[in-house]
Amino acid sequence: MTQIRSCPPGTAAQVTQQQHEPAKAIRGQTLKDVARVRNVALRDLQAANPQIRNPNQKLRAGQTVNLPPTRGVICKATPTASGQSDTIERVRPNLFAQVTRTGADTQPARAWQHGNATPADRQLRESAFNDVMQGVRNSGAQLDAADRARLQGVLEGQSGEQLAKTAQFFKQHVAGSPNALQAARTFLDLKEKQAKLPASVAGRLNDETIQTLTRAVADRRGPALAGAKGIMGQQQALDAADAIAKMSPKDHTALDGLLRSAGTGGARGADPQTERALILKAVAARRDRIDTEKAGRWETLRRWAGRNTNAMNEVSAYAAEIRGKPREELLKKSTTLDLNEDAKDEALQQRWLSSCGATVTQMARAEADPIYALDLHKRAAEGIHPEKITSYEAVHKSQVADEQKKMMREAGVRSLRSRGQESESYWGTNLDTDDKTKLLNSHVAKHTNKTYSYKQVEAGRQGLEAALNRIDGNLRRGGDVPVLLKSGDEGHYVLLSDVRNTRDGVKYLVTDPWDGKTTWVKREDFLRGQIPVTGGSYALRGSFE
Amino acid sequence: MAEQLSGDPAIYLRDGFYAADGSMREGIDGEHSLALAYRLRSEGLSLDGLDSLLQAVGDIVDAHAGNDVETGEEPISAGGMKAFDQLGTRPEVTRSAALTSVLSAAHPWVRTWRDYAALAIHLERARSQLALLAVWPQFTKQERS
Repeated sequence: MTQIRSCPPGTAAQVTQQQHEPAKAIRGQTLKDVARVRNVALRDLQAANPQIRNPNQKLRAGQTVNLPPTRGVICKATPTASGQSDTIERVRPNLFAQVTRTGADTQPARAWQHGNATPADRQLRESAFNDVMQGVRNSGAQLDAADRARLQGVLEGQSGEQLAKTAQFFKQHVAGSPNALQAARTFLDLKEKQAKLPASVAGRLNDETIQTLTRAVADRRGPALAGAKGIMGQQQALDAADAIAKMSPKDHTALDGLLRSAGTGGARGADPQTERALILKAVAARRDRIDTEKAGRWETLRRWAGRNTNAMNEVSAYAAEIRGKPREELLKKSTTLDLNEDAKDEALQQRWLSSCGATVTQMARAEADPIYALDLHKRAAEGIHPEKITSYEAVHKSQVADEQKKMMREAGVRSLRSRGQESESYWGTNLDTDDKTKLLNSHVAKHTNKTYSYKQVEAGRQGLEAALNRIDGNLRRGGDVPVLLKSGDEGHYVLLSDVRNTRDGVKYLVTDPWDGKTTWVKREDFLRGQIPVTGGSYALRGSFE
Repeated sequence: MAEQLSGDPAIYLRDGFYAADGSMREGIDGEHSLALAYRLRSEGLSLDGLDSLLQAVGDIVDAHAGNDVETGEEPISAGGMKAFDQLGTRPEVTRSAALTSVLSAAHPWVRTWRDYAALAIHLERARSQLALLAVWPQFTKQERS
């Protein structure tokens, strides 16, 4: 608990109570789950929801759960000589730490320019703005002045029904998201893209598509904290928008049809929005093959012949395969990480003693491309996480293991030992950082639309701080960062896929390919060189960004 | 139908690559490519040989279809046509009756990059089908019956 007991000198304590928007239950969640995920005491949650008598009772999808108000203390600065005052609010953390400066940074960046707007529109604009500010603040972040001004600009440009829809969208889908900041920024970036599109394709990035992409960034992938990240990252949403704007008319017609038929004809629990988010994520992962200006010669030839690109054909086949499937299944098969923190090992594991680098490459690619993630799930006939990693089937009969072996061979590694041979004195050769960079660039870069390079951590705490700050930035934009850890002479590659401000400080989501565990590690542990993975204690040596 | 499945490019390409409505003729990247792949396999053409031809087909695009080519409706330049003609002299083509017949049947119909694209897709599709056939056992006549 980070409730403060006293206020800094020059400030006065003031008790506050903060109300929260009700939460929507995910299918199968219990009140206990909600309490854990929202980090509130079960008794407080029960008191706020007397209609739910049994805390273990499974809730319906979308069932409203009232959240108890959080109490906290505001340390209000006494006016300074210049007459300005500053307020630092520290409330009991809800899902995330809420050590947020209030006042100037949640207020409009400039005076509203309502023009001739009706009083109703003025009110809608300001309440939509406040909803976004509140949502971002609840997620432990803040929008800077430039973004607040952009948001004001977008809202001032809307009126009537369109404005009402935007306001409703923010309230429903952005304000309650742990990714409210990224979602708000995505929305603003997409609106800017929309305004700059040439008239011939302006209709492609319409408000409906912008909202679908923004929700894809806002919607969490699972109820546990490890699932807090959006289905798409901010950059992926922008990549998808670029692809949509620059794809051929033929591909666009196909994509439009896929998005319209999402969620149809399926089982109970089908979720059109999640399907659309995954379809668009797959499009983002093929941006350069779909973009008519960047596509290679074969995709261009297909376009000239009036055919869909092969990339769009892959997306179409994927969309048909996931259509109508329950949300949980879709999300589970769109990742190789263990995002539900249910104490079961579910992340992809290395099948060879030294194939951590290859496995992290598979993970990074799967995180970027849901088609590859689904393919890995299908190819891992023995399961992404086999019952026994040392079994003959898990290694010698496994296409997942085979792909790891191929990647190692591609990097020039000839000698591999399978899991279960830990007692051998020789474990085979691990990838050096050059090999690992090459693997990422040949297998992952085309899906993340960026080029990887290795960045070694500079010696000393300052060097570590600088590396972590850079990694932070990448993770907060929705990217994943493979990193090299070291313990003595032993190197180990793991994947970082999220960062959160929690009540215990900043934490990174680390997936270890050795044991297949996905866990939160404190920033402080990174700084101390005591990262607890594979039962040992490691230090951060470098990252691939 | 029997005509279509004969696998003779002179027959299935007798009216060009595109139907009257502008769409690519059915089978160009379907059964006709499959028939071509069967012929190539029976001739013993390797995947590497076909890859080499496809590389040359792609290189012509890079070398002669500049940034001015937007929709594919643009005519192929004289240099591009000359390079296209030279495809017929490549060793993998001269050694294969199937490839020779495809190129000669296609020749009168290749005027724009869009036409060229259809030919390229036909060959590229045959390549992926040949790759699939490569993992299937080749039955003798006796086994087939």
